[in-house]
Amino acid sequence: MALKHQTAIVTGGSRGIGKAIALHLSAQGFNLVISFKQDEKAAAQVVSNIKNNGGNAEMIQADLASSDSANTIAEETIKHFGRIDVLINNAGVSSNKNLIADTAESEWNEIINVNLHGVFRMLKAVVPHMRRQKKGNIVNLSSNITKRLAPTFGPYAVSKAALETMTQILAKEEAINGIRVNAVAPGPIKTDMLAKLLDEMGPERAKSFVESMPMKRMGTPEEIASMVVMLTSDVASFVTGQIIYVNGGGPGA
Amino acid sequence: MSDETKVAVVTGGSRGIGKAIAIKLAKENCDVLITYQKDKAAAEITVNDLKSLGRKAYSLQMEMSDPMVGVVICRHALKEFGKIDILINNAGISSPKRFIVDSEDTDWYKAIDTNLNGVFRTIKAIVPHMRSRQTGNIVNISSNVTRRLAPNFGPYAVSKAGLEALTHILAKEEAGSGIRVNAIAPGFVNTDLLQTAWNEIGPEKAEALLNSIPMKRLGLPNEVADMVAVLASDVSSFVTGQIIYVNGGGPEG
Repeated sequence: MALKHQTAIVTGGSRGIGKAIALHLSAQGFNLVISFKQDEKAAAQVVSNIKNNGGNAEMIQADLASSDSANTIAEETIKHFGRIDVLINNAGVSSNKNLIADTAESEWNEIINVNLHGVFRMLKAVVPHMRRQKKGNIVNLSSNITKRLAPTFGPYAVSKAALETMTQILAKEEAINGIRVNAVAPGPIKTDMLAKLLDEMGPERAKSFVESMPMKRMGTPEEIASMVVMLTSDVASFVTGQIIYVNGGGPGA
Repeated sequence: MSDETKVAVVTGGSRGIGKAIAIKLAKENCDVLITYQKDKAAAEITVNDLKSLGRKAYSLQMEMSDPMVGVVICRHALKEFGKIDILINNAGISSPKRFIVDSEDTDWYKAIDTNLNGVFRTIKAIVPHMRSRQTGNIVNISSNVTRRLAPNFGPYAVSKAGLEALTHILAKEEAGSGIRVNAIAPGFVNTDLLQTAWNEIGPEKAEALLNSIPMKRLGLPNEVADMVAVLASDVSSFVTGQIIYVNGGGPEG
């Protein structure tokens, strides 16, 4: 359980996996700050859900593609709750299913900008607070795609592979400051984002995709959240720099 | 964890990491059968510790190189407890610090026979029981050495690399039977085994190794046990076929 008044930031915390992580952290006693890009209504529901259960939560509109949003999130968190103990870098965008050589430069840049630079900016804004506290916990959301490395997932896979490398190096750099850094790499999880992807595939390919997974089912957002929250706890006190795949034995074909 | 009493088998459960795992699982509502190779007195102390936690406990003297090891463990566990929910393949031996080419044949065969074939034997005996119940959880204890791949650790590292491959494939094969299979790969953990190894290499090299760990400290047996218990629990219900390094951030070089 978290100490009283510990605070967690979950980027992209209004929906899907980010929402499940926010709710789970709140249940552990954390004050929550969630960022959202567009869906204010969904974010407000998460906040009221947390407050109705006796927790504290704030929401911040932030597009991690813009360079000052990370500072805004960190500053607002300090303003509301005075400290930052846990940072969950969950916000991310998927790419259109194009071959790498056919990908528009603007799309390539956008994916790298959000999924990689967005996390870099969050770290720059938050790690100094954690260094001062000599304690902190960061979990980055990668993806099973870094093992699948499937055609037409180029920009997304490349951004996540880079994120994993950043996770591993940052963990070594900040270990002496009491900061642990890990990543969780989900396989196919029942979210709006995946439902859209399976629609695009068509029912036949979608079925064979699920059948290609050893557990023959998709994961739930809660199954990702439970591992993310575990990594932020003292259960994982000697675990840092690790990428943990939560993929039903995947990677799937 | 659920309220239902589970049954766990921990090979090499009398001392060090194995003992910490047995105690952690007992605290998580498991009755426990431990095996030990030589140290009957230590095994009896561990059994008493487990019983004082209000659990049933049983110890069995076993050589992992005994062709019947799996069958005997399974028979005793079913007789004493009626089922096996969790199998922790922890028993293992280190090998003398020699180059591969300079290793005695007997040391090579012994490392592979204990650390790899021993696990094969327990799995052959216990997985059919788990299949029949359509549920089961296996955690193998590997080692950080599979990333370090350091000179003089040949037989040991090769046996553990084989064990990791077994973990990956078995997980995929048994996912359809409701059995999850994962491994924990500890780094330097403060046990008798480690103290012996560090005495052999001398204080200067021991200190250099300690400083090569990003966290600049040894792990504790209970820090490994906590992660083993996570994998054996529903927290990781969508996690199978994974090797999780519990190594303070490294070393990997």
